[in-house]
Formats: sequence, C-alpha cells, structure tokens
Amino acid sequence: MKILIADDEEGLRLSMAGILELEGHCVVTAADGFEAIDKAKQETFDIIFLDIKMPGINGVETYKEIKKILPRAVAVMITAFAINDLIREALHEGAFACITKPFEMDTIFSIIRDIGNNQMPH
Amino acid sequence: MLSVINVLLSGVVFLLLVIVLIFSAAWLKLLLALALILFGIIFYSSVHAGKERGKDVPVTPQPAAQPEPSPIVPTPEETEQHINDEKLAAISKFCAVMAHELRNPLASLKNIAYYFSKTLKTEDERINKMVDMMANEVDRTNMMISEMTEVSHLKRIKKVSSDISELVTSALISVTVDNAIQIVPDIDKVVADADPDKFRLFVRNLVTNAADALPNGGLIEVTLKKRDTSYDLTVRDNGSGMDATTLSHIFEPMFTTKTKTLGLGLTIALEIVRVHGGSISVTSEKDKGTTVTVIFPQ
Repeated sequence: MKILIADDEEGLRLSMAGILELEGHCVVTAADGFEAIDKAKQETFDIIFLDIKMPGINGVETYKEIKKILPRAVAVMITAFAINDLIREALHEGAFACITKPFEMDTIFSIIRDIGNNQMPH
Repeated sequence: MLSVINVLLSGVVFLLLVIVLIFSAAWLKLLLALALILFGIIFYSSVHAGKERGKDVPVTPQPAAQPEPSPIVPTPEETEQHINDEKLAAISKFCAVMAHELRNPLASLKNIAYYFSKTLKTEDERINKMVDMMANEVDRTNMMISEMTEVSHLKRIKKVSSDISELVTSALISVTVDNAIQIVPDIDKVVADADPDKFRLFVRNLVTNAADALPNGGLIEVTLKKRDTSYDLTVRDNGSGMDATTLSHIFEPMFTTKTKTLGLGLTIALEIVRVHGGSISVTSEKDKGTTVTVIFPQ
C-alpha cells in the first residue's frame, strides 16, 4: 500500500517508515500538516497516519484538507495524549481509527490489514 | 460643591509647590519637599473628615454593630488533607503535560527497538537481549506515565448505577500478576452508584500493591460483601507486610518502597474511595501480610 506518515517527531517517522517498508509498503513522510497536504497534492495515498498534535495545523485540520484532495484515502489518527475533543472530531470526520503512543506495530499491521479488507476496527 | 472647590484649590497649590521645587536651590528643595509631604497629610485628613461630617455624602443608616465572628481554625486532619489535596493538584497538572511530552519519544524508541529486532541479526545473545529489553523498558516507562495520567484524571468522576461485583471481577481479570500468585475472589452481588473506570482502577491498584508484597508468590484474597446500608471490599495478602512507620506513609503521594513505580497507586486508590464516599483502613504485620478494607455507603 502507499502510505503517508505525518508526525513532527523525526524518530517516529523514521522508525515507522522503516518498519512498514520492511513489510513491503511504499512510505512517504511529512514533518507537519502543511507538508502532508503538499505531499497529498503530488501523490495518491491509500492510508495516511496523522499525529493529532503537530505544529502549525493539527492532524484533524490536516485530515480535513487532505480529504478534499484525496477523498478515498483512509486516515488513522495517532496521539500521545488523549485529546478527546480532537479525537471525537477526527472520528466524526471519518477517520478509520485513533491509536495512542507508544503503540505496538502489530496494531498498525492489523489496522492496515483491516483497511485493505475494507473492514471496521474492533 | 464645597469639596470640589477644595480639591481644585489644593491641586493648584500643589502644582505651584512642585514648580518652585524644580527651579529652586538644594536647601529650598528639601524644605519644600517636607512641606509637600505635610500638605499631603493635611489634605487627605480634611477630605476624609469632610466625608465623615456628611458634607458630601448622604447619611445612610448603619446596621447595628455585629459581634465579630469567631475565626475558623481548621483541625489538624483538615490541614493535612488540604496539604495533600494541594500536592495532588500540582502533581496532576504536571503529569498531564509530561505524559504527552514523554510518550512521543517513547513511541520512537519502541518502534526503533522493533526495527532492530527485525533487522539486527546477530549471534551475540546480549545484543538480542538488549534489543528486547529496549521494548520492555519502554513499556515499563509507559506504565509509569499511565500512573501519572491517572492522577491527572482523578477529579473527573461520573457515577452511574453499576454492578460492583462485575467491576471487581473485570478488574481482577485485567490485573497481571506473577504465576506464583493466586488470587482468590469471594464476591457478593452488589449494585451501587460508582464511576466504573475509576472503580476498576482502584481495585487494580489495591491488587497490584498486594502482588508487589509477594515477590516469591503467595495468596491474595479479594472479598466483596454486601451489608445492610453499605458494602465492603477487602484485599488481603500473606506477603511481607509493613512496619508501623511505612504503614503511616502509604497513602502519601510519591511515597514508595519499590524501585519501579512512582508511588501513586495507593494515593490514587484513596482518592477514588473518597470521591465515592467510602473509607479505607489498612492493617499490616511484618512477614505476616496486609489487609486493606474499604467500606462504601450504598
């Protein structure tokens, strides 16, 4: 799958991209919401992992903008701390799931599988 | 009207004195500064006296003099509770911020450990072990952060009618203890108002604390008993027990005899008991075990 990871933490972008590439996925990274929107304008992605709290615009606002460009892309929100209002807003906007850091990569693999099978998360 | 004229005249005199002060010799400056201060005192007194004579302000009837209320002196217990509440509030705020900041690098570390485990193929078992340890240490740190976060959420409580027996049972299922520790439940059916998440958390904390006293295995009895107007929960272990000095500190925030926690588990449990209107008592004997009894109103 073609995956976009938007997170202001370089360590997370690097490690998550490395792991997903080991699994055979094609991964592009962005350091903030604006860069993620630019990437979405240039390429098509199947899945977008978005950190909720980022400098500039947050992950939810980023998702709203990307939805206009890539309406078929599936978003998965990532958060280090439960910001309930933003999580609710993201899910209301159509985000597939919201996971908290630090997460197990098995959870990520399971979500990617479910998206590939077009199933709802448990 | 008279007071307005007084104020205007006083203002003009004051201005003249200031101008003379600026342009006069040093000795004269000192004399005039003293005159200004004296003038200020006299001016204030005359205005204040005028108001008291009722020249400018209509007289309103004053209420009869009330006896001075006795000062409220908090009891030593209230003072101690207040100090602990302030301590907890400060910790809560700090924990909420730190939780977010710490989880970001932890997420990176966990993923890096995973990447290494998949790509670093080596015959050096120590390296393989260290890579596994990285992930475990991240999980351990995350648990401590969760403990901190629980403190920051303590004040948010939402009680609903709950099956207390089910809450206790599900809490016991979710607790992870060593295989050498046996948990023996004896649960009556109880329905009462409670915040389900907080109640489960409080039970988990009590059981986890009991488990920590059983490093070589042992028994934890968890009893839920329905009474006429209350219900009580008892967690009893046959572990190492505590001396009187340790026992007197166990509910204090950040007090711990262990190296792997922040010492907030029992503080959190106590606060949850309090917001549910309950009371908690602990008895313990060195090398014999500890019994924690919580009584809730129904």
